[in-house]
This record gives sequence, C-alpha cells and structure tokens, in this order.
Amino acid sequence: MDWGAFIHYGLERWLHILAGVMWIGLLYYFNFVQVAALKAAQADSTAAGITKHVAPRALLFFRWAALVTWLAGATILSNHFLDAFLFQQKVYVPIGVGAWLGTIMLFNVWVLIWPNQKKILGIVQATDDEKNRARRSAFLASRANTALSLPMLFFMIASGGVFRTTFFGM
Amino acid sequence: MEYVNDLPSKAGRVSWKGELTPHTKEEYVKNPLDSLWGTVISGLVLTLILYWIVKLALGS
Repeated sequence: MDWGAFIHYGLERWLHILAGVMWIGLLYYFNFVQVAALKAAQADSTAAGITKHVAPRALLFFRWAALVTWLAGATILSNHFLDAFLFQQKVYVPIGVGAWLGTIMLFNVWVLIWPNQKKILGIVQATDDEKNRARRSAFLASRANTALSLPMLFFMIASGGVFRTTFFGM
Repeated sequence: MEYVNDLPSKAGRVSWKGELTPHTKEEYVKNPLDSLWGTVISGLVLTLILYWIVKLALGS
C-alpha cells in the first residue's frame, strides 16, 4: 500500500471535508437559524440561553473548523498550491477560485467575525456603542460568508473528476 | 460632517462624534445581505458570474 498517497489523497481530503462540513454547517446554523431565533428570544427575554450557552460553543467549533479546513485544503494542494492561487495552470483555475473564496471566508472568520463576537458576547470589554457596531460588522461578515459559500462550494465540487469535465470541458 | 461608515445601515450614518443622521430617501439603498433571501440570491448570482468568467478565461 502506498501510505503517502493514502494520507494525501484519502485522509487529508477526508479531514478537509469533515472540517468543511462543520464550518459551513455552523455558518448556515448562524445565518438560517440563530439570527431569527435570537430575534424571537429577545422578544420573550430568553436570549441569554443562546448568547451564554449556545453561541460561544458554536463559535469555538466554527472558527477552529474554518482553520482546519483551510490547512487541510492547503496540504491537499501541496506542491500545486501556487498553481492554484496564482492560476498558473488551466487545470488548477477552478480550484484556485474556490481556494481564494475559502481564504477570504477564513479571513472574515478570524479578522471580522470572531473579534467582533468577543465584544458582543462580553468576552472582551466594550461599550454599548462598540457592541452595536460589532454586532453589525459581525452580521455583515457572516452574511457575506454565506453568500460566498455558494460559489466556493461550486468551485470545490467543479474542480475535479467528472464535474470538471461537465462544467469546464477538461 | 465626516462619516465613520454606514453602521447601522437601517438607522443612518454615524459621525465621529456618535451623532446619528438618518438616511435621506435618495441615499438609502437596501443591503441585500440584510435579508436571508437577498444573501442566497447574491451568492447564486456571484456563482454564475464567476463560472462564466472562469469558463471564458479557460476558453472552454
């Protein structure tokens, strides 16, 4: 058995997909479920249950799953990393677009969403005004990631095998 | 008046002093990311645009 190929084409890809499902699954949970649930919970004063017990745990898995997804993706690309990111070879252009979208999303998670969520959840000190701004910034970054996830997932799927032939004829 | 940004966009613009100026009817543009459907449609449109750009770039 070729263990190098098994790890590279099997385990790394499996880890990439597992972590990716957790990342995007939680992203969709925040956008499709929690935003509306919080609005309803604030109306009957039960929001603390979500902000104190659910959101911090969801954010923990969310941000680390994002990082693991990106790192596993980078190891899959390995010596073709620059081919993809710099669009150096035609065959790596579709995965390159997906990789760039994933990278922008990772940036949004760690640079925009998480620091602002720390203010919102009271993990770091913030005034009410700062919290309001943080709430809006985190919300827009999260919604931007939801929108970006659609083309990102498309290009991840359309970058290999029968899908690449179907969508790009190569 | 200098504006920090459009936060919060629905209420108006916030100055450096924290003063809120409501949007006039002319300058108020709804952000598609404020609604879930707007977000999904934006994602779908972006997918189509990027797909055609890549397809054209690859000459396929």
